[in-house]
Amino acid sequence: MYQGLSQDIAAVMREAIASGIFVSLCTIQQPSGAFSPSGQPDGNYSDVIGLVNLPCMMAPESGIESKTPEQILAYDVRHVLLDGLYRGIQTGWRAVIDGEDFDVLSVDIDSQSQMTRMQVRIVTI
Amino acid sequence: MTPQVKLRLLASGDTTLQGYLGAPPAGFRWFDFQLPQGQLAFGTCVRVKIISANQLYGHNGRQPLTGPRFQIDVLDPSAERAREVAAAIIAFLGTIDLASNAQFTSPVTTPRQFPVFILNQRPGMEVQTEPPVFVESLDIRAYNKE
Repeated sequence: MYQGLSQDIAAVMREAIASGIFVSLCTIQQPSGAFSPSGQPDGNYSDVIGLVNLPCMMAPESGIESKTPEQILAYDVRHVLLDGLYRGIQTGWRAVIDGEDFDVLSVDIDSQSQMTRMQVRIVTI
Repeated sequence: MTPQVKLRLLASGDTTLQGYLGAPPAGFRWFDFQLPQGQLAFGTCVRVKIISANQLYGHNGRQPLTGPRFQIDVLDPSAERAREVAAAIIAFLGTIDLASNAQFTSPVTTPRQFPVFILNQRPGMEVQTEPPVFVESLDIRAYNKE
């Protein structure tokens, strides 16, 4: 009797987690919402409840330097896979992965709602 | 000595600017044209470029006096900090004279005039970083003796 694919689909993430490949930890942070007297965001972030120390794996996606006469910008884009389904992560928040702060560029959930993927970036001047 | 060198030499000797930009010579974050990578991590930085340099002439020809126009950019993740350092630089510019040797010989003496003119000040931003870097730009003319 055909029993469908749901068990097989759910097994994928269970096996991935059991294999030990989620070797990094990701904490999602949101801006404090406070502003300086001149109206600039105060630069402080706080952990989002429920999105702290999430096992993940991160891989480099691209790296490029943009040179102008005035400065050199280095762009480092990474791809991050979280170990499960985490809804509500917003662009405009940041991801702290193994102690490094990344700007969240995009968040997507797979078609089977088993995992969460993010594209993150750090730009240095 | 070029006007860029003169300006940086005098700026690095200003104790107020040292407090903002670091200890000279190697740690003083005042850069010629391009901001080197990674320096902003140490604190507020300044990059300076000449955007025009008019030559002055008399009846007997070109004079050893020029009027270089500088753009001085103050960069910091805090907009208020960038403005604060720009104000300190304006105060410093009121104490220098690139058109005399008073401050470049030994012993250093106080110049009798300070031919530096603030032409414009405007804000800017480098938007790609997170947080963005605020830029406070000063447009000045400093008469210089070659």
